[in-house]
Amino acid sequence: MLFGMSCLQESTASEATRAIAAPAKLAIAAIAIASLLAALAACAPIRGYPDDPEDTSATLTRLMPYFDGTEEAQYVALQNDATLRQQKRDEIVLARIRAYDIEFADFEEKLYLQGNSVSTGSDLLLLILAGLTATTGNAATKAALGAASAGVVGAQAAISKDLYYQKTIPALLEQMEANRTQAKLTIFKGLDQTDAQYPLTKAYLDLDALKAASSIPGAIAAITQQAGDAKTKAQGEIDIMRTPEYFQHLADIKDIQAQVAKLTPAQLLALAKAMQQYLPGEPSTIQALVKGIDPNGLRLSGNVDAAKYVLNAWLSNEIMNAVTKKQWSDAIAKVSSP
Amino acid sequence: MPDKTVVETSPKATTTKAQVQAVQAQHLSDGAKSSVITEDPTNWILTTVWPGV
Repeated sequence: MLFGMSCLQESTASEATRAIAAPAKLAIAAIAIASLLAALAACAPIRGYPDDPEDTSATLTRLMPYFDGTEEAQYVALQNDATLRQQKRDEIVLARIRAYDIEFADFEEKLYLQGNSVSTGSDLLLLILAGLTATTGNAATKAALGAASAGVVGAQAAISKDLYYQKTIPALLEQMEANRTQAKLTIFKGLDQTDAQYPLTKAYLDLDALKAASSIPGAIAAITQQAGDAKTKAQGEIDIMRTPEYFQHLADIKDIQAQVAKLTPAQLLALAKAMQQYLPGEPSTIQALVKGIDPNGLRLSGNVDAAKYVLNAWLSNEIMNAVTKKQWSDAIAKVSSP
Repeated sequence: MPDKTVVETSPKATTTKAQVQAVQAQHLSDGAKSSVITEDPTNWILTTVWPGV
């Protein structure tokens, strides 16, 4: 906005003034960029990870024979010695896990640092530069203001993207760790078996699963699956923690049900309507049950079978205390009276 | 209409299996499609499927 206003004033100045003003603005722009870079450097994130005394690059190089077929050839050659073959299998699998762990730790650290820094700092810088370029030239005021405005909008989008990214990384890292633990468990269970039961070819498949478990798409897929499962469970199941009170009043439930069983079809429909006023005061589990088995309210629109069935299901799960017992008794008395 | 599953958890400390069986019989006579008792170390778990109308 400031740049836009500056440009508005400039558009009314003479050519000579423009010639002087343009270099001055470029100087201001340079100072602004330098300040921004200094600020970004000052805000450099804490690394979050201690220095690793191990030269992991050298370790990975030493582990290469476990990936290029050298060690696998030795494993194949040991086909007549089950014990040594199993030892070689374990060695290859554990070496590969070690390599995957090193790569994952590196990936995790980079991801953490990315998420913890102003990762879109460069985006912001580019946007500001673009804004400055557009507003310090000789373009028309209207165009300059438009460009400045676009720059502000773009900057806001970049900030939002950065914040979302920063908040998402911990969840992804946690899921990746969980996925890897699960994949490793499968491998270690396999290593408890003989080579005949868990040959290297089978272990390779599980190692591939471990590799996939370390990826962002793998983490996102697992999180999405969990959310879907939770939603399905929430929609499909009603969980009730029964208290002794419920069991103490089972006899009262049967007593009310015996009275309901004597009602005529018309009285059943009337009872369903009479009890409807009490439903909002019932526990959420009973409300969910009634709504779940009769989502279209058939019991309230003349369907006798629906009324009888829903009332019985409701009663079957009712917490029968003094209040609810009176509600049922009063409603039955009301619909039974001539 | 979709069925509705109700999972009733009753602590073994305060509930006998006979009490849960009585509720199971009650649910089945009230129109439940199925009602199954399972358990974990501390709870009786009654899973009942109520068909939709």
